[in-house]
Amino acid sequence: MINISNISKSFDGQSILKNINLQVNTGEVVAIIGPSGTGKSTLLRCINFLETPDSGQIAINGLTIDAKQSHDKDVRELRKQLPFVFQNYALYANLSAVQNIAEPLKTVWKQSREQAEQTALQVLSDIGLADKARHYPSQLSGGQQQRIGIGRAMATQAQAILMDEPTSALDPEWVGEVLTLIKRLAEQKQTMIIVTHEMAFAREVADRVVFMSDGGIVEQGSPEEVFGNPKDPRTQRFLARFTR
Amino acid sequence: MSSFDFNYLAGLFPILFRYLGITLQMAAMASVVALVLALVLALIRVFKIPLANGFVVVFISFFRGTPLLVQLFILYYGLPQLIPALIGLDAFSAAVIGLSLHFSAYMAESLRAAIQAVPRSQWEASYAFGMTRIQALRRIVLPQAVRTALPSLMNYLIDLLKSTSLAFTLGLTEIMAKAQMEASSSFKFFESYLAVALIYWGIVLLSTHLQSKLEAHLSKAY
Ligand SMILES: Nc1ncnc2c1ncn2[C@@H]1O[C@H](COP(=O)(O)OP(=O)(O)O)[C@@H](O)[C@H]1O
Ligand SMILES: [Mg+2]
Repeated sequence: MINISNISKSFDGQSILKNINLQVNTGEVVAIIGPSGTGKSTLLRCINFLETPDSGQIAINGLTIDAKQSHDKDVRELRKQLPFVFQNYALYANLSAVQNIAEPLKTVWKQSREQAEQTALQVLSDIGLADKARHYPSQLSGGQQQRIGIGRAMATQAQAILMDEPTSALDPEWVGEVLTLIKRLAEQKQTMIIVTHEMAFAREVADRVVFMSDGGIVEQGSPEEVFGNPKDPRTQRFLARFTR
Repeated sequence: MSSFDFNYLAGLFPILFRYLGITLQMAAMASVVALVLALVLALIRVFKIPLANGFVVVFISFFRGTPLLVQLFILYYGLPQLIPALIGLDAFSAAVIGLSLHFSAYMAESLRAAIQAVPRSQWEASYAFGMTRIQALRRIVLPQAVRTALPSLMNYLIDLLKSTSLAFTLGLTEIMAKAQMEASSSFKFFESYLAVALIYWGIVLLSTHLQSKLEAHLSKAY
């Protein structure tokens, strides 16, 4: 469903992503793991063009965008289909919880105000935050903010959700509730690409694990293959740090 | 040597109040134009729009770097000599235009700073869901920026209101000019100018009160 081909990206002459190819099927949960500074966030940001790749293509359900000749309108359509969950939540600071979820529905999905708010309230009650509907981000815990960040993506009828280390900025006490929510989405066969440092979570929830190192995909496979029997020495070395 | 004439002072207020309308009208019109213009200038700076950006830098520098009185004189007495179309420009319009240009330069800078102070993640969170630049600006970034810029914008508006008194130098009869006329026929300069000062002071106190109410309201929101 999502076809990422030959994506390359460099910053200040330094090559960060080297010819990345990745296919994601409908309903699949792909976990991207790897050392920090390796280009995982950059890849995710290139997939929905928050960074414009230097070259390569992203295709999703009939829409193909080439990095070298992308039109704003196509880029917006791509982003609409691939909402993003940020490491630091990035909720709209001037909007309440319910408005945060309703905002993309109104401005991008062209829903009426009533419809958008109704959907948003439904999502809030799904994620157990119905009583926080009128709270602003600054009045919520990190865990609550990130659940709303995920809810904001869930509420759209997008094809897939991109998540960049959704629990890395959280105090340990809030990690569980966020992972539980993502797990639930996985059970509902929500297509997702998740960059994560939570190895146990990746192993349990992902259909496929992708190991990245030095701007490239080193190896990928089922969690059993990658965690149980890593082939590349770099994967082995990386995973060894987590299994002690 | 005459002593302070309280009755004369009190009697001035009804006379001056009749000219308050023109002062307030001038201030209101210039405020609206200045705010709109300031937003346009700030956006040109924020988005670094080619060509326009350079022009705006010079525009802001000029209007902040020269006295308002000189700007008003150039606009009203000077430019019509060069541009015949401006000969018909009346003093009221010239004052409104001059005040608007002058204060838009200041307000553009505080709006620009406030827009740039909104974290980049707020733009990204808007773009990441498919919003256009205009939508991100209007729905997410500008509301946050305006809240930051509000105290300084309000101070500039108060300054603008007080600066309308300079319009008397263009021959416009507003409260300052009227007070001067009264003073030169009665020779009671102190009472006359004190009356103007008290009227301005009263309006500014009222504005400051509204300002703090507005700020309190906005800071409650989030
Ligand atoms: N906007 C940018 N400008 C310059 N360098 C960047 C930028 N974004 C990321 N990088 C660099 O790209 C590399 C990969 O970063 P990133 O994708 O964030 O890695 P990861 O998410 O795997 O930790 C790092 O060396 C980082 O410094
Ligand atoms: Mg990262």
